[in-house]
Amino acid sequence: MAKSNKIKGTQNQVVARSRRLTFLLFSIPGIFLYSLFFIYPVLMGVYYSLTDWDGIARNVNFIGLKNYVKIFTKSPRFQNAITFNLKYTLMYVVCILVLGIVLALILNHRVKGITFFRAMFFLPAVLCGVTVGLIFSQIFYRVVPAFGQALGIDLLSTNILGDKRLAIYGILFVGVWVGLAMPTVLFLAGLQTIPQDLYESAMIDGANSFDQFRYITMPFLIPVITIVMILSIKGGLGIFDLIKALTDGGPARSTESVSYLVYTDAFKNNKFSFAIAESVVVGVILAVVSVVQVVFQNRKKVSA
Amino acid sequence: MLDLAEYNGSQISLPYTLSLYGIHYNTEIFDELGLEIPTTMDALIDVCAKLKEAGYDAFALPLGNNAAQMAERLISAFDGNSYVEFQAVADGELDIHDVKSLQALADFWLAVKPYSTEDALGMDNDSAHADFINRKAAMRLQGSWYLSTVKNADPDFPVGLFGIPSPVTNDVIIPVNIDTGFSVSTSTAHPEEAMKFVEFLSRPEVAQKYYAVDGNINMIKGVEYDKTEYMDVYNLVMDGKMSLTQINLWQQGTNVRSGIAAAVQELYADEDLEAFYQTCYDTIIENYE
Repeated sequence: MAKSNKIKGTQNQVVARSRRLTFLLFSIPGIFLYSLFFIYPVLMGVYYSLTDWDGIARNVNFIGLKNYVKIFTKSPRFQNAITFNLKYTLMYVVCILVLGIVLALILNHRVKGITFFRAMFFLPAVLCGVTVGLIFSQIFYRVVPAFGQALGIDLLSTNILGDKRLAIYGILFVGVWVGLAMPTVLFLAGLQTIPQDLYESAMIDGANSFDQFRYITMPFLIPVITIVMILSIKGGLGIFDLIKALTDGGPARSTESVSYLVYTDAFKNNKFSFAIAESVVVGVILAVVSVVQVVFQNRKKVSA
Repeated sequence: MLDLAEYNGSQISLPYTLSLYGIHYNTEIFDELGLEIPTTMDALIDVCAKLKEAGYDAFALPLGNNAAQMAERLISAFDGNSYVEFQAVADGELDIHDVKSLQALADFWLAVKPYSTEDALGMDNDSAHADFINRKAAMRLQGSWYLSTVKNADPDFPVGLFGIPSPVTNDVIIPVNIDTGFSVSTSTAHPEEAMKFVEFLSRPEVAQKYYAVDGNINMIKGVEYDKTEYMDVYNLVMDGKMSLTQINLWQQGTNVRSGIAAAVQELYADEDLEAFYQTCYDTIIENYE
């Protein structure tokens, strides 16, 4: 008996080793491609951020941390862009989370024509950002002021994208309009994984709708919220196309984001290494925010 | 003309084609109102007032996404030596308030504002083009590349071009840019063949064919220019009344241009001259060594 167990154990070890080897072999192409197209460019980027490369010249001089020092001490434009990004991202994430959950809750009801509404709300996700930007650029310039003037609303009687205090809200509106579809679908999928009997038990125990939302729906949605938050923080910090199409960073640099600045510095000003250093700083900020958020939210989610 | 592509005494390129910049105008509206082509800044502002009175926006001003180019080309038209003054500001030798081209720039925006697009800061290039083509606005600040856009929209559109009068030089100087130039790399393995190709391109009959496709002013002697809409300005350029657009001469030109654009947008919104000069000063200090 003992001998047969021993043989069985050895066989299991062989099978496990063989499976590990198979997994390893299957992982190699992925690791190779990931290293080639992600890790290698990132490392090259970090290296070039420590040089004075202009994107064209063959001679590259190592200048240490000069670009980073310049970013934090002599670049009010970068600080202005970071402030814009943080302000925009905060508002964007709140809008996406709140509106996404509200829309998903509405679309989760079984009412007539729900498939049509779900399709309609998903439509902006399939449109190209620049196209949407150009369409809204005309809406803000021609349509909104016409309504503003007709209704006597001063704030809307001129293009809000031309007002340095209001332009950010114009971009936010379009950004949320485009960006809401995917999170809504994710929340909808999340809602449909919640066991219905939990709601039934809660109702029997006398829980009202808000209690059910607070104690059942939200904890089950935490994993989705985590994903949506990471995606929307990334979307907020990386915003570029809408700014290019709607305001071109203006008026008076009030809507310049870091991505827009990176593009301008790299491709218009030929300050490639400086632009890479700016991207590295944003990458670090993004990584720190994501790690903090994942750790924080992992403590709150329901363990299935 | 060859000196346009000289650097530190060396000819670094054969300047081949030039684009130019000025005020595109609706010739029909000008004829209807009996307006003369203005040759001084005061006359230009007078034309603006008359256009507004007749129900037109004098200028369609896309300050939303074209402020940088408009501001830079205006400075180029006002003072072809602005780069000298910018350097003096950077060196602490000149007060920013005394930079003549910036004074003229600020005066220009404040002067045309009452007669131009009401919502200029919210206007983009496409909307400005639409206003010009639809006769809502009578003038546009644009480069010679704009002619094909106008003719695509309406082949019979009555368009003309005149130079921006300068209150600094009291003259009309056309800002030009070398759009095509040919250089031979010093490290090429085939210098003779490369020079032969440049020689081939510089033959009038070849350059004429290039012009037929490209449409820009061709610098090769003997090429016949036939854009009637631009003929007056073309003649000025050929008489030497031109200067290289200043973005080529400022240090970190695109950055400086973008900073001045921000200053112009602020000025247009708040009419705060001090803030305008401060932003221009910060821009120069940030970008000059």
